[in-house]
Amino acid sequence: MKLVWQIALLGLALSAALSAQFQPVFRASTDLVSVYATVRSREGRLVTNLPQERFRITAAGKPVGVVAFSNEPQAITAAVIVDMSGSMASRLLWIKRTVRQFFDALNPIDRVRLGSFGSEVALSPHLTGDRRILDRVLEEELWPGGGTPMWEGTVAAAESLIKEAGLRSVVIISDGEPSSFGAWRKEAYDLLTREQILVYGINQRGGGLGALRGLADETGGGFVELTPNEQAGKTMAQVAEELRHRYLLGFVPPVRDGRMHDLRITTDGGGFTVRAQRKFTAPSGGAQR
Amino acid sequence: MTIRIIALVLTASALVGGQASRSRTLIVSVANQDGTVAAGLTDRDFTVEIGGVPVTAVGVSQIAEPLSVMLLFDRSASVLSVPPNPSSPFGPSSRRALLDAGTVSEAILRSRHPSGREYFGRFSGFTEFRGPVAPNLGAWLEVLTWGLARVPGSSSPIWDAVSDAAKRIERDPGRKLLVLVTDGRSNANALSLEDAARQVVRSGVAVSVIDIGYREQVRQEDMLVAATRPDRLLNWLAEATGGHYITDATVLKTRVIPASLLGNVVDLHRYAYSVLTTVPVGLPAPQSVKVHVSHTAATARTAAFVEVR
Repeated sequence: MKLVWQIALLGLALSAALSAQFQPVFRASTDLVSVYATVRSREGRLVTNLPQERFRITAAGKPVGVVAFSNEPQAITAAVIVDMSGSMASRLLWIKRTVRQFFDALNPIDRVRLGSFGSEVALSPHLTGDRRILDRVLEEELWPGGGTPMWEGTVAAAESLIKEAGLRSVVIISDGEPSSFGAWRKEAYDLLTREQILVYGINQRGGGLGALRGLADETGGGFVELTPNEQAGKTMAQVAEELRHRYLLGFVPPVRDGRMHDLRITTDGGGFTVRAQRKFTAPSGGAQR
Repeated sequence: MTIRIIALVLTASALVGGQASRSRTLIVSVANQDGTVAAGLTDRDFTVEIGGVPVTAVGVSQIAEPLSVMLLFDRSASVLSVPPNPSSPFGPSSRRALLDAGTVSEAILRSRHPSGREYFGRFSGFTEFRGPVAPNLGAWLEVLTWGLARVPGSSSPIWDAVSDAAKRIERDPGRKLLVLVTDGRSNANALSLEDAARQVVRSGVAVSVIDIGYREQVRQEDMLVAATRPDRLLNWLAEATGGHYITDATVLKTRVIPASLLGNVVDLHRYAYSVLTTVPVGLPAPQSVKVHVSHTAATARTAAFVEVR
């Protein structure tokens, strides 16, 4: 009986939140776990109009019901971090062009923070849709050189978004593998999973793929490869569309142990591919009654 | 030889020849080609334009006034990651600091005005200050040990640091100089370069830059070449605030700032000219200010400034 009330209250909270467009509440209660998902057709086309009934969630190995749902487009809240390591120096102009094309695809309500990792991990304090500020940071604050502290950069970018509401993303433009491992890598994965921040990787074709693609897959984000001379405008517009068109799915987890568990989201028929985070953190506080 | 300069300063209203005018005292520092102070200039050597309008220099003096000096050091990762130069005269593994207390004593303290003040600031992610520092070797030894210690390097919010440093000394009496030692690889700034420069000008502070960075031409995959030129931004900052931009091969090679160089940078402002001018009231502020100096012996490094109040 208590569970029914909890679900009802959560539903009310979520409905109220969703009534304000672009402002979905993500964590209405410690009992509800919400995740974002994108769906693509067999042809790779973004599918944004599936109903709630088509989704299936398996959490901690057990099927659970979808108790909250939204497919409203949302404002983009993203930290875009650019790999400025030595190996990217020969792609500096390509990077700037690609980032500028991403800016071109933003809507007025979207907010972006630009940063970089190389000899330094640096993030602009501005999380903004003001194009003048974004362009200024792009032109004045990218300096090639140094290693590839991708994990440190990812942690810094994710931390800078923790206090933001709604769907949050870290967009990483990089050519390869990080130069550090171990603790930073674990911290990045834990932080992104705990905060449900997704990673979208943008790679120049020919570079390494493993770490960036793995991060994107694990967090339910996305990954694209571009060729050096490709006119990336269309692709970056698609990236922006994918960042704002996410299904919001809420479920009550079958365990309450405060630990991380496997998560699998599928759709019922249609041959769709669902991209969502593969882990979730269960609420703590004893067994579910 | 024409030298463009800029400044800002004190304004008072008066009536000249029946027309309302303001007197403006511009602080103008003039350097010889070797970086030393150009001495002996008179009012006939200066021509001044404010808002594009020529105004008369009615008086020029070169009197040493109290000077507040803020030494602001970039301790970000990009600066700290530069390896010791193998051709350094102090040896390839030299850990000699960029600056030592003896240099500060010789360059700044020896000829300081009794009412002058000295500060030290460093930034790596965020900015910290010490000062006013007591004008003795022991106090500076302690400050530099703290200020130039190797700390975990972070980002380079140079423009924010410059703005914060200027605010720190803006209420001091006399002239104010900020000596910025950096590689110019600025990032993570809340302020733009231009906004920081405007704020610095409003604080009455000149920024002189000792550039310890490098510029490079990076060949791109599509056969273009990308130039990374932090020196351009630093040069602009110095010009806009009435300071000087210094890049010195010896400093770049040895990673040590000699007393003669630092002394010249400070003396250029300690012995700057006060140029008194009158201009008609009614020009909207801020106005660009240009000062030209004709002096065959002087090759100037200087300044253009942008605000008059």
